[in-house]
Formats: sequence, C-alpha cells, structure tokens
Amino acid sequence: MRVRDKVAALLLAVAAFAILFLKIRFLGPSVAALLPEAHHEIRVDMSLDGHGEDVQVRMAVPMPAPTQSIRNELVSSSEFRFHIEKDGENRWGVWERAEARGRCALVYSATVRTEPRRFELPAVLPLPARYPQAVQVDLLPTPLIQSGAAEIRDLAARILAEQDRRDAAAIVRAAFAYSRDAIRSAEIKGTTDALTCLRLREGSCGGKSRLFAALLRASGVPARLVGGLILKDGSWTSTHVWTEAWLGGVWVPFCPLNDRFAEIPSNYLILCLGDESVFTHTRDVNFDYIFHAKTILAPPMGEDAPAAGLLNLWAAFEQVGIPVNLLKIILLMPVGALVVVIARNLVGIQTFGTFMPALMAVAFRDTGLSWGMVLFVAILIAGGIVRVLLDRFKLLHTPRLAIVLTAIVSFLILLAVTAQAAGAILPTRATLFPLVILTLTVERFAILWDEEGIGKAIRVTLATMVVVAAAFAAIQWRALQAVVLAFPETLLLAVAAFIIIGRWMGLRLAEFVRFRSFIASGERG
Amino acid sequence: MIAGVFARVRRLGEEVLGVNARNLSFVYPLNPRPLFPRADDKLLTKEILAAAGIPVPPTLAVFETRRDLAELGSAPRAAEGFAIKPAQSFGGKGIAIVRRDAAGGFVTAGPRGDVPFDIEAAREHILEILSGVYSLEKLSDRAFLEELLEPEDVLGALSYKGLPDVRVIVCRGSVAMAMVRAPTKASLGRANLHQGALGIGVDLASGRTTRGVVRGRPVDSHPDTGARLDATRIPAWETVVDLSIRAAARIGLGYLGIDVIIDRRRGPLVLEVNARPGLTIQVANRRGLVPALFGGGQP
Repeated sequence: MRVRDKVAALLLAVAAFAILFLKIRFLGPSVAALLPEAHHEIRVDMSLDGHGEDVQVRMAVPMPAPTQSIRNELVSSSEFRFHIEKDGENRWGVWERAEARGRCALVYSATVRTEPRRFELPAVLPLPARYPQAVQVDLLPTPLIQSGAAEIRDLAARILAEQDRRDAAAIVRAAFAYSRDAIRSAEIKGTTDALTCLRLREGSCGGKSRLFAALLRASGVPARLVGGLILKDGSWTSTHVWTEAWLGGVWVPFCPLNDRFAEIPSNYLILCLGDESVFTHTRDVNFDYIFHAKTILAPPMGEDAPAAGLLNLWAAFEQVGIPVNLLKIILLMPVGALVVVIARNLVGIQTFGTFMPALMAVAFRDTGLSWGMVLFVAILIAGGIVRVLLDRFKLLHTPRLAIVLTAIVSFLILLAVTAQAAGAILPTRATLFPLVILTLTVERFAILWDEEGIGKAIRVTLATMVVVAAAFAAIQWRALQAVVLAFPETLLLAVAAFIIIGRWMGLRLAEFVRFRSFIASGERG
Repeated sequence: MIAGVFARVRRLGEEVLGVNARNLSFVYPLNPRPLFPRADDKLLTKEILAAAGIPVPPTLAVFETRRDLAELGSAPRAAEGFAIKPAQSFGGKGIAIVRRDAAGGFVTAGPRGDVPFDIEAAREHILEILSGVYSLEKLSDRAFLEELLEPEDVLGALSYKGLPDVRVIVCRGSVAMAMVRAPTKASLGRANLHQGALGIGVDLASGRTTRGVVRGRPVDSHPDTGARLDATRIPAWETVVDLSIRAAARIGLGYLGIDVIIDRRRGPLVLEVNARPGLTIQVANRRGLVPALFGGGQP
C-alpha cells in the first residue's frame, strides 16, 4: 500500500469517529433516541362470505399500554365502513356493511413495540380492607369465572394455609402454582370456564387463566383476564389469554400456561382487557382470520429525538414520506457490498455479477433467506431447461436470453397462482423487487454457461449462494443495523476498508489453494 | 513439519503473483486502457505487428459485414485448411479450425471425432461472430480467415492435433517467464489451458522445457502419451524471445503475454497478444512470477 492509500483510509476512519464523537457530545442522552429498536409489523387478515345480509365484524385492536406502543395503524376494508370504538381502555375496530355479498377481505395492520415487564412481589402483602370502586367488579363471579362456586371456594381454602388467608402474595403464589402444575396443559378449542377446567384437570391458556382468576377472586384478590397475541415471526391463528391481579395498587400480569409469574414477556401483545373475545362477528358468514408478524428495526417513538435533518435521518425521511424500510435498504447496501468485496478480493470467490450478491441479499429481506434461495434455484433451473430446449434453434445470444426471461416470467406467474391455490405464503412474500433481481441473475448464469460450461456455472451459483448468505447475515445483523442506521457516518469506515482492500496486493485465499502445489512439494524448478 | 509447511505457505505468498498484485502492480499501471484494443483486437494486433516487420500468420479474408460473406466461396478453396476467428474474443472462444480430410472435404474436430464443415457451416459461424456472439460485451465483431499453420515436429510431438504455441510473458521489455501450450485430447486440439491444454514450463536461458500443468495440477509427463516433459528444446528459441520482446514494444503495453507459433514452413510467428495473461504459467514453471518481475524485491 502506498502512503496516500494509508493516509486516505486513516483520514476516513478519523472523520467517522470524529463525527460520531461530536454527535454523541452534542446530542447528549437524546442520542439514544436515534438507536432503532426491534418492532413487530403485525397484520391480521380476515375473510368472510356474505349472502346479502348486514355484516358486522368487531376486532379488539392493540391499545397503548405501559408495555406497548402502537403506530402506523392501517385498515383495508374494501366496501366496509370502518371505525374505532373506545370502551374503557379497550379499542374495538368495527367493520360494517349492509347487504354484504361474496367473499370479503378485511385487513388490519400496525407497527407495535412491546417490552417485557417484571414485578417484584413482596414476601408478604396484606389484603387491603377495601378496593377502589373500579376494581370491585373484578372480585365478582361471572358465568366463566365461577369464583362463587363451592368447588372453587373449597379448592381455594384447601391450597392455602390458615395463616395465609389475609396475605395477597401467598394467595397468588398458591393459586398460580395450582393452576400451573395441577392442571394439564392441553390444546382445547373453544372457551373453557374455570369450573370445567378444574373438573377436567386440563386446560389451555383460557381455562388455566380463568381458574387462576377464579381462585384469586374467591380469596379476595381482584383479577381480570387479558386477551392478546404471542408475537413471532411468521403466521398463526391462535389468540392468547392471561390474567392480571390487582396487587399493591397496580395490575400485575400472570400467565399460568407459560409460567410467567408477575411478568409479561416481550412478545405478549395486549389486545383487550377483560374476558372478551378478540373477534365478534355476524353469524354464519364463514368468518376466518390469520395473524402475521415480522420483526423489524424502526426508530424509537420517544419525543426527545433530535430534530429532523442530518442528525436524525429517520425523522428527515419520515417528513418527506420515504418509508423507513427504504432508508434501511439504502444504508445497508454498502454493508452488503463490503461482504462481496471481501469475498471477491480477499477470499477469491467468483460470483454472478459484481454486486449481484449484495442486491440479492437485500432482496431476500422480503422473502426470507431460505425462500429466497429456493426461488433463486428454481428460477435458474427453469431458465436452464428453457435454454436447453432452445439449443437446437441456434439463436443469437440476446434474443435467446429474451425468450428465457419471458419463460421465467411465465414460470413465476404459474408459481404464484399455484402457490396461492395451495395456500402457501410464497405469493405474499415474493414481491416485485426480489423477482426482478433474481431474474437478472439468469442472464449472468446463461453467459457463464455459454462461456465456461455448465459445471462452472453451477460452481459459481453455489459460490454466489454462499456469498449471498454471508451478505444476508451481515445486513440482517441487528446490532450492525442499529449502528449503521443511527450513525450513517460509520459508512466512512466501510469506504476506508474499500480503499485498503482496493490496494491489497496479497494472494487471495483461493489462490493459496490454486497454487497449493508450491506448498505440497516445496520444490523449485 | 508444521513449521516447514508454514514456511512454504509464506514463501508461496511472497513469490507467487496473484490476481490482486498482477492488476495493481502491472496491468493497471503498465497497460493503459485506451491501448487495450491493440492487444484485444487480433486483426489490429496483426496490422501493427506486420507493419513493423514482425512475422504474423497470413490473413486470407476479413469479414466486417454480412455483405463480405460473398467472398467466402473463393477464399478457402485454395487452402489446405483454415481457421475462422473472431477479432475480439477471449480464451479461444469462437475459433473454428477447419482442415481437409483424406477425401478432400472440410472437417472440424468435435468431441467424438471429426465432423463435416461445409461452406454453409462456415457462413453460419462467421455470421455468429459478426453478430457478437463470442465477444459478449460488444454488439458486433469482425471475423477473419487465417491460413492453417502446421506445427514443426518438435513441439508438434508434444501435441494432440491442433497447434501448440509458446506463451511468453514480457514485462517492461524483458521476458519474465514462458511456457509451451500444447493441445491435448481433452482440449480438442485447442491450446487454451482453461480447455484442458497442457502447459509446459520453459527454462529461459536454454529454451528447454521443464515440467507441466494440466487443469491447474502439476504434471511431469504428457497426459496423452505419458512422455517426459523435460526432454524438449524449443526450436529457434532465441528468435521466439526476440520476436516476443519486439512485439511487446510495438503493441506498447508494459505487461503482455505474447503467443508465438512455430510454423513448419514459416518459422516463429506472433499469433496474438494478451493484456491480462493468466497466472497458471507459474505452476507450469514451478516458480512464482514475483521474483522475476521485481528482481527478488517486494512490491
């Protein structure tokens, strides 16, 4: 490396750290507001079949709470009218349509951030003499939480020692242990009330939570049910129910099914308070629903964030209406490029195109790595088959490629349609961007096949997949994402790395393999 | 033992020229982009060399447009055989070697023996070249017919059909390394190492062959005949060296691979030049290019 290369790389690194330092100094504690946090993008797909009747669908939509915040709420309701009804803290999304006919699709989506919370219960917590008006209702028996039933009262008396009867802490410990351990966990369809759960000695989240709540109410501790979702990356159909107990003047969460004592984990999303159904709808409309969620990084929602501008790119982008996702793709491209540069110039891996692997890695953010790879291989195979079929026509290169591309487009449409029919997730994930990028790789594949044979093309395909996986891992690495997104000046460090690698004279790793005969023999000609 | 391997790995790193160092130290600084066509365009190369009195294989015909194809009928009739070449292609792509078989018809070598190659086939092949099939980044190309050369006996004995040549790396006016490239059965008569041809190292002082490389692996005997590789002295070696140095000077690039053919009747001829010569020549010679290029010093 020449002096000027070293100086340039050093200056870039110094500049990056100087900007970083100044930014942290200038912003002080509010710099934390720049660091993106993990959020969930959730989507609820609902469908129903109308037969000319008036249809109403009510869904408990996420509410703001100390452990969760909601933004970017969007509804798609075709010809339905939509409004939100507030009922205490609960929020009900209501879709209504007169004389609904045919298949109707309703969608609710939002970006939510949930955080875990843990409560430390004192060893002893005397039952108060009286409760505030608002929580007294949560001491009363209901048809599903039969705290007045003799069996429940007997059980409450049996599992509690005489001296613990006035200790709320001991009551929740005993009732929790009983509903967690003495009741078998089972998948049960429909609603199980507390008494049935006790008699069957098995229950799902609902049965266990109601039994737990009934035991608390029977012992004089206010308790209520909470309906919600357990968030995960993917799709699912089950809702979740857990219990809150009024202890020391606050509602404390408990989940007997998943053994969460006085804590709410970070993946619990509250939809409604009280023993409510998440969905209620007009009868006989073949109502169905599915939940989807994906973890994403998004800027925090705090109010102390720095003003929009160079210091706060998030806010600047949001102001002009550019999706945060696009900002992420733009800022992470150089990270993908760095992986490609290392793979090519230091390791010596040959890939399709120069930055095709970086583009593919970005495209696979939409499909997921494994689906992306499946698509990639499927498209190459489809392209290869068409190419072999075309061989006898001896067409010129470009028209032949055009036929291959046309065939691939048809193949993708076919794939999307059949996957839709088979109920697969693929079509919802294979958006335009990955398809365009993957289709472009067919050209690279075809050229390589022409130039150096099918064996070489397959080897380069495998090498490309390895580099794509590495670039994908790099750009999906949360900590790295957070740093690059909050402090884009770190990209100067990437440029410094590019300069150093750009002047790297050493052998590539693959060249040590290529010239390994020099090591094995050690002889000189 | 481990220390010995480690020392050899280190020496490999110090002596072998890799792609990074070749490009950064030689190709980029010594071969200015605007001069690349002088090496990449075989017809232009031949023009420049012929003008300087450097012997090149005779060109029978040049085809620049479809209309030129009218000349095709008369051109090859006289010759014993000919080669159809694209002016701009890499790695021997698009070159068709056509010769007369015992019956007097034109044939070309295929994977399963000779196949007939008539005027119609030649016309189709030239059309493909003109439309740029073999020069991928370009939209069109020129094609030319070259007289079929016959290898003299010494190098011919090392080859399976086809035409062996001598690849000479010339850096800043002096020869850094050389190897014989001999077609094999596997390479279908082509002298290109990527296609399976045999590379044989050459001792620069004596012009004697040393040892070889096939598909990147070191070998000491011929893959087809099993004959030892170190028993040959390249005929007219001094002329080969002299032609290479003069050709490199004429082309004007500082780092070149010069391909010299030794024809039975015409002697050494410069066939083509390469602005990014490959690095496998180091395996054939069992020695790295770095000491030769830097005089033992470090980059």
